[in-house]
This record gives sequence, C-alpha cells and structure tokens, in this order.
Amino acid sequence: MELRSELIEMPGEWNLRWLYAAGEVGTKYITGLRDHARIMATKCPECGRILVPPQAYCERCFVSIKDNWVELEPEGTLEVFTIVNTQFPGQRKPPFVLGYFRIGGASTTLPHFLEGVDLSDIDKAKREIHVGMPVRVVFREKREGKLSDFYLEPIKE
Amino acid sequence: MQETDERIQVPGHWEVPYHYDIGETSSRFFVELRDNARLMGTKCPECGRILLPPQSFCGHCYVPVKDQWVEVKPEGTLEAFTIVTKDYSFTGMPDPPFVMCLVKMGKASTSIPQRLEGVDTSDPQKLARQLRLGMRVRAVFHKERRGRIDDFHVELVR
Amino acid sequence: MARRVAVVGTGQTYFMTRRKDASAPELVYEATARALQDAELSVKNIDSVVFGIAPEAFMGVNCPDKWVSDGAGALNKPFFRVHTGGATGGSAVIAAVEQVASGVADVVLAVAMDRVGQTPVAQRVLGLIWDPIFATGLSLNLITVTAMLNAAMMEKYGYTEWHTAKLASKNHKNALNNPYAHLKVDVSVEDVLKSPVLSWPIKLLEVCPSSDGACAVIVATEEKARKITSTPAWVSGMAGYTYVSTPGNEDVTVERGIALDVRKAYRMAGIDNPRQQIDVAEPYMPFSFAEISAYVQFGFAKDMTEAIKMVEDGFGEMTGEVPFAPSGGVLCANPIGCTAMVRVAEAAIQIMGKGGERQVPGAKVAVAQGQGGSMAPASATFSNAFILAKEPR
Repeated sequence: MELRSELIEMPGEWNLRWLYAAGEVGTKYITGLRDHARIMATKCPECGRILVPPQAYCERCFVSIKDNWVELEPEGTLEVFTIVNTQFPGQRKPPFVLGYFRIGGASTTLPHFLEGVDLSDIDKAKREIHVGMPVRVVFREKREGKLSDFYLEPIKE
Repeated sequence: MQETDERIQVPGHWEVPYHYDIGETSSRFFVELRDNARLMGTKCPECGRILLPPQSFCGHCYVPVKDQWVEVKPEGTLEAFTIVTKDYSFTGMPDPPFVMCLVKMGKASTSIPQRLEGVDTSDPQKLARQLRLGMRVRAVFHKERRGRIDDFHVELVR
Repeated sequence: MARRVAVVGTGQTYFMTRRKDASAPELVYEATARALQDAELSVKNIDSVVFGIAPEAFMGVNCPDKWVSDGAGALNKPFFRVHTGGATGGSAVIAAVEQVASGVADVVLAVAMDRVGQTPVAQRVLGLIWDPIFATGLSLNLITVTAMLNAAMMEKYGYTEWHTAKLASKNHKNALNNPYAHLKVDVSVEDVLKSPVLSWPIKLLEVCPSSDGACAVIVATEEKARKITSTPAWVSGMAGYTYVSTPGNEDVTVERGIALDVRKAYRMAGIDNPRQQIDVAEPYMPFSFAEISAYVQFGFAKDMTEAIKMVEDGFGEMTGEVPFAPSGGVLCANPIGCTAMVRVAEAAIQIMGKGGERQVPGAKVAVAQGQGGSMAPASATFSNAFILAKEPR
C-alpha cells in the first residue's frame, strides 16, 4: 500500500477559567491597596525579614507570621530592570521598563513597571535608568486591589 | 489593620491555542477516513494484534509496526455504552441526549470510542435496557468528511 | 550511595520546533528504543520506568504520562512521573539512580519528553507559572525575568554584551557537530550582536529555541552494568538542591543554588580540584550569559572577574581547558522537561566515547547539571548535578 505523506495538524485550545483563593493574608494585602492606598507587608518576629507580598508563614524560620503586619513607606529604589522590546502575545505593548523595586525598606522586592521614562531613544534610556535609582509609589484614583493600582516613577533629583 | 470577613478570589484565565502534530501514522488513518471512507489499522508482526487507531509501535511487544497497514471492516460489536441524558449537560460537550460507546470494529484488538446514533433516546431507561453488550454495529460514514474522528458514527445493525 | 550505579545506554530524538511526523507516544518510543539499542537491551530487561515532562500546558494534553507510558515500555512495570520544571529530566535520572542504588531495582529507564512547539504561545504558557494572586498582569515571562538578572549582573560584574555574544557563538558552532541539535547555525559574535533584542540586554541568538523531543537514559547496578557494556559511565556523584528565591531578599546577582548543588556532587565524587579533575561540562544554560557565572558555580573560576577573563581566553571552547556544552547545550535545543536529561545523556556519551564529532578526546570525568525555576515572586529553583566518570568511586 502506498504511504501518503500528508501530515495532519489538529487545532486545539485550552480555554479555562479559575478563581484563585487569595487567602486571609492575600485579602488583607489586596484590600489594603484597593481601599486604603497602602502597601502592607508581614514581618517575621524571628529573623526580622519584612515580606512583600505578605506571607502567612516565614519559609526560613518555618513559623506563622500572619498577624504581624507593617505598612510600607511609598518610596524605594529600582534593583534590577530590563527594557522589553518584544510584543509577547497577551502582554504589554513594548517598549516598556520592567523591574524589581525595593519599596519601604522591605526585605523582598516587588516586580512592576517603571513609568515616566522617555523610551524613544533606548540607548539614552539605558544610561539614565540605573540600579539604585530612587523611585516613588504613585497610587491611582480608581483602584481594584491589583498591582496596577499604583505605579513607580523616578524621583527626579 | 481592620479585620475583614471578605475573602477575595482573584479571577484567572488560561487561553492557550495548540496545533497538535499527530504524526505520520495517525495522519494516514485520517487521510484514509477522509478520502476513502475506510478504517485503517496497523498489525503487529509479533503478536498479531490489530491496532485501531493505528500505532507505529506495539506497546506489548515493543517493536516498530510502522508499515503494517490493514483495512478494518466497518462493522463490529458494542463493547460498552452510556447515555448522557437531558438531566445534565457537560461544559464543552454536545447537547444531550446522546449515546457514547466503545466499539470493536472488524478484527481490531482494541476498541474505539464513538457516538451511537439512530436509536430512540426519548426514554433513556428504556433504551438502556434495550442495548446489549455484544450487539452488532456498523460504521456510517458522513458525506462531508474533514479527517476527524467524527467523520463517522455507528448504528445498530438491524 | 549504597550500590554503585552506571549509565549503560542513552537515546535521543532529533530535536526541532515541531516533530510533525510523530505523536507524543511515538517520540517517547523513539528515544527509548534508541537507548535500548545503545545498551543492547530488550524492554524486558527494564525493571521500572521513571518519566519526566514539565508543564503539560506546552503540549496541551493533561496527564500525558498516561498517553505515552506504553511508548516508554512501561507495560506491567512500576512507573511514575516526575516534574520539577526545567530540572525535570535531571530529577527523573535522580529517581532512577536512587531506585538502583537502594536495591529496589537493578535496571531502570528514565525517559523524558516535551513538546514546547505544540503551542504557538510558549512564552504565554511560561507566563502562567507565577503566583496568580500577586504577580499577574505584569508581562513576566522567562525572557523578561531573566533579562533583568542579566542586566543586573552586567552592571555589578562589568561584563559586556560582547562576552555573552561570544559564548552564544561558541555554543552555536558546537551544535554543528551534534546530529540531534535543534538549532544548527554557524554564527559569529557579530551575528549574535546584530540579532534582534528581545528584552534588553538579551538577544535572539542568545536564547534557546522551543523544541519537541525526547531523551532516555538507562541506569544499572554495577553487576549488571559490567555485563551490559564495556564502557559504563559511573554515576560517581549526584545531588539535588532547592533554592527558594524571594527576589530582593538576597542579592540576585549571587547565585547560590547551583554552586551548592554542584559542590555536593563533587564531594560525593571525591573531586576537590575541579579545574584539574573535570574534563567536560554539560550545564543547563538556556541563555548564553549564564555560562559566565557557571565558571564560578562549577568551581573553575574563583570569582566573576576571573570568569570574565576565562570567557575572553576561551576556557570553555572545544579547544579550551574544560569544554562547556560540546553538544551546543540548551541554547541549541530546549525541549524543557527533557533538557536536563539530555545534559546527563550528553555527559554519558562523552564518558562512553560515543561523542563522534563532538567528542572531547580522552574525557574521563564529566559534570552535568539541570535547573528549573527562576527568580520571581513565589518561585523556587530546583537544581540537580551529576558527576559521570570512567572509573567507579
């Protein structure tokens, strides 16, 4: 029997929806953003680390820390960054700056976008943006309890 | 910090498209179904099992079965069935009522899932009593075929 | 380890974006049949099977282990699946070796497969691995997150885009000697520097492709290994490590997990002077910049300054002191859940003297490493390391 060489490709799709439980601690963080324009963190009484996003337990000391809350000052520094130049499907339109920010002296950093930088000349932007750059947190008027409730911009000296 | 009874749930959505490359062997099965309205299986040279859908290796003997094609008669037996009734419709499935079954066609050693049509589904309890394992079925090939498993269904041989 | 274990055979499929000619079980069968052939064994000689695949959302079939198990020769045998992200292939080998070392089995097959090319949006799938509560809507995927790490390291340690391009060019040229490699492009440093910037500073030719494929490794107890082959590759060291990174909590530019993991494996293998004692390395590097810190993590350079000089001097070239990724490495083929096993297979191939055009002459001791995860909120890095040697310990 003659072997046909047509190779078939079948289309498929995963179109699935979820409801992720944020938990007690997650809920407090989210409502802190949404209702009070505050960034809340939890602190481990044993090692002293301040964790944001807040955790219900310290994974190093392996103790519960869900009742130890601190509010973070809305200022900080840029620790690492990249200038994204590619349109990844479903993601933000480039170019934009994605980075990790140390806010209010927390022991962990938050990922977010850096706004207020002119990206029309990437080479110039690369020189202006630097590790340790001071930034401020700016909350938006309308908030939903998401990271997009605020943005980071450089503090101009 | 105020205590709250609110327990937030964050919505998520996975929307991922796929192009499944089904391979040479499976492609041959669908091409024959689409173009020639026939069922093709592969036969293991060692154990003699006829595999439908066809495979390019025999999982029992662990040998290649790539070019051992045989035509499978489009008639067989009902090995198992279920009736999905109007009481419940599953997301992403056709509207009930319908009958899903496993059928063993021709001399194939394996059964395939298919839809059983041409039966009266208005009284599922009655139908369930009428259908018997081992009943003869035949494949009914559709006029328009795309090269998919629903290019045919089965009906009872009366 | 309680009993000595050796690799007695390996098998790989040809890696490419889409293996249109094969279904998933057929890919698994291809790699497994090749490994059995390499070891001159029949499937009947296999006592148990460990299977690896990383997120099934790449190939779009839930619990694919069920679908492919007969292709892995698992009929009537103990079987389980392992999943540690990019480290999966290595973890599957660890599970297989542990079964033999502990005495529950004599000959075990580890096989891994992935089909990253079955979805056109692999980076979207990788964007689904983050914490869904706090990290969504942020355009995080493995390229953007890793680019941040590279940028930070460049600033701290002073290497340049030229250094990372040089390493990329080396790996691509090595792949030309590897019949299984996905990407086979003869590119110069200039070509790499001119390739499109995906997320600054990372460029297209410095990043791995999305690949389909499978790999199999057969391990056996000493008594059986010596009967099966005259060139067993002894597993003289093996270690696994979980590094939980809460970004910002540690200096992300100082990588600890891999170093600790590799050193544990060295200690087990009795290696105290890696620069002298290791002949070849197959590290897990989906991005070319990772090789610079790998020189430090693997104990060849004492610090990043020395490592940067080593890049300039060609330390990891085929003609260098310790060839890194003679296969072309992860940069040239990345079927994610399978890739770490390919590192073990390639290291074993070197020790067994089966490397053909990519053989490092006289290789007696090799180090292979796997890694999964990344710096990001709620993300751990799983690392595993293996020392393969011509002589047992």
